[in-house]
Amino acid sequence: MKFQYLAVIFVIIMLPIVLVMSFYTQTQTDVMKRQGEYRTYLSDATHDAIKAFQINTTNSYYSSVSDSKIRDIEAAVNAFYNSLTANLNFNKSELQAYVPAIVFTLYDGYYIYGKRYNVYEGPTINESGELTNMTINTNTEDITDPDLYEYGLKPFVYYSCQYQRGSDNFIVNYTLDNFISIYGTIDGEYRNMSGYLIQIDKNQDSFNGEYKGTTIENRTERLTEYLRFSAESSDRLPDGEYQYVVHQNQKIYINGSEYFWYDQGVAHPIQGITTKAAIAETIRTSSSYEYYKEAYAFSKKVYELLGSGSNPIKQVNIRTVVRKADGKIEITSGGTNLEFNAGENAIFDIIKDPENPESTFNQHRIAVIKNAIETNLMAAINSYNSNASSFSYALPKLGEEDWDRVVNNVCMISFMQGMPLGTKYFNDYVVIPNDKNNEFVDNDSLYLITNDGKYHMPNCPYLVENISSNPNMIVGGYINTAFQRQTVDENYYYRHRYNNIPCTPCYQCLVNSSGKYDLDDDIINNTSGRITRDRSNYDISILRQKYFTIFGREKNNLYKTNR
Amino acid sequence: MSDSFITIIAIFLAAILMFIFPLMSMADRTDDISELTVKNATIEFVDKVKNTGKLTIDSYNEFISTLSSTGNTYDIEMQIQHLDENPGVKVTQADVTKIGENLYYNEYTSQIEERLDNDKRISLKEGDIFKVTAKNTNKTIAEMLRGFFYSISGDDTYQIAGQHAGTVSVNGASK
Repeated sequence: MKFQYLAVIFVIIMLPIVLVMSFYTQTQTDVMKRQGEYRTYLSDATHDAIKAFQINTTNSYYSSVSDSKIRDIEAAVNAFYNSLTANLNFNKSELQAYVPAIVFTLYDGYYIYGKRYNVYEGPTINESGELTNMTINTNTEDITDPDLYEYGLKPFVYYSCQYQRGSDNFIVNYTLDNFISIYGTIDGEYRNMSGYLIQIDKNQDSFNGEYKGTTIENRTERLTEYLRFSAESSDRLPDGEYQYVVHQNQKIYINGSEYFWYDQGVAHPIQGITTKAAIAETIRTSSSYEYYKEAYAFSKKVYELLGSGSNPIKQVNIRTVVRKADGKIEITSGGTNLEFNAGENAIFDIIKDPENPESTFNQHRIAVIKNAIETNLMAAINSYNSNASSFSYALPKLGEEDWDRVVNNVCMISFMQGMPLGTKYFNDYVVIPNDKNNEFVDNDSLYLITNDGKYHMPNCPYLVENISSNPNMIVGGYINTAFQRQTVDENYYYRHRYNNIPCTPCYQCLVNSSGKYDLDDDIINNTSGRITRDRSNYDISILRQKYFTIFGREKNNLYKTNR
Repeated sequence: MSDSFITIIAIFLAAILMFIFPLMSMADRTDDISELTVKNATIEFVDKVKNTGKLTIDSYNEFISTLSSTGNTYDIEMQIQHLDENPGVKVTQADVTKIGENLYYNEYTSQIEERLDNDKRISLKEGDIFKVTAKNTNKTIAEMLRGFFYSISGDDTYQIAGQHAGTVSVNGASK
């Protein structure tokens, strides 16, 4: 055979192989590219939703009230879909088929937004006023009818855990920080108590001002905010700095001998004589000292009831609800489905610091929160079916880092599954924490104002390295949401000023953080009050004292429904 | 005479078709796959920084080792744009979300690497922008073959590249 023929035969064999190969690689590249794009869209949409939630909640003085929160979450869900539809050219109902669940983890519980069966199945009253249909509808055809499902928020679920010890039977609701609520029978008495758990000295009866190696002074602080008033309001007060106190969860501003509350650029005066007297009393108390005093008394009580004695609450006392493979629900003891096993250690042993991430209490709290979210989320996603895709929905495994964010922050977790990408389906989730919220005061959510008109993180190198030579440099400190821009009549203003100039973020921590000092290790848990770094030794006892005073005050002033 | 001339041509043709063409095609595919890896690694790296607000030396090293697993050497360019809200604070009508009123100041690869060496991590805040570009610096086999035939060459040419950027969505300062 001639060479030419050989070459032709070779080309005939090689060409299809090469073509198929390049086509295959091209498809794979496209799939990867699309997957990356979708992931970006999903994360952007989740971020947009968090942003919407932040704008709605931090500008509203009533955002913690549950009705208002449901409204804000639904608005955030809309923002999520608006952002996705803008990028993906699908409409909302088409997209919903690929989003089996959106989880909003809040301070003391969470909401799942998803598809729910929206038919009342119990007894109904007919036209003549009689009760009919006394049996629960178990007709599976109805349950699988897609028209009977709708998208919405499922009922709120608390991060709770049940305990049983002899005749004691009670439930503890956990939160993202050290606040707990206890309901149930303990020592033969029905109890309903809530408060912050802090470290106590078992030989000491009440709070004596000492906290984590620093002294909290029983002294009132002067808190001020700059307010701008709407031009349209009648009896308009001059714009300026007003002193305020938080009285019964509400900010009350002081104007000479008059009190008012402020909403949307309008001052609402407070008239009642008894209310005024009560406010005057609040002005005289130190809310920071109050926080530690109450927390100490509560912790002491919890320790006495649950943590001390011959029979403290341990792992064996935990009762958890477990869903078996056949769908039956069973109550088990010993908390076997929790990730953390406290073993023989007392869970409420408050001689150890409950705020320390390594403590038994804290690890148990995290396990309870994780379990609460995981079980319901698994059920929500596994039972999800949609006509749009033959994809079998299942909860993807959330990474350790993601869980870490979920159990420490108000978060939004969004899932997108079953979106066809070409050769495979898109299956991913995004966790975005919301670190500007009025839900709770996190360790890192406080900003300290210094006398150069800047505000700082507590672990700012400028603060740490200069505080001992300039002990009066810290002139105030507030929760981070108070530093956000405010709007009245389309004019912007900032609530915190120094020498009549709005405070600006520090370049060494907030604008460009250095990460030189660790907030937990170097500031909060550093009871020695000294830091040694690069052969220099810094005294930070004043910084720590200021930090804990502000921390206690902001925690005390926060709105809590169950207090 | 003409027959042997055609034979010589045919031998050349056959050699090109049987060796060079498949080799080039395979080398091209290898580069495609490398590019896929590089693109993915870049997206993953940037997304991680974007979603955690933290750039750590560990994740940077992981990124570099993923890139070198493709068998090529890369020139990695990073850029952090720090959002500076301060100029906006000083005037009453400023809005941090408005385009044109914000200032960004930049840090580039060598500065970022120096900070990573010293502090092991860089914390970013919400609104900062992080960009990464990776380009190969060596000549891949496909490039060499192509250079041999079409003689396209130069210092700036690259075959494999990955680029991704994103706005940081969370404050990574303390956690």
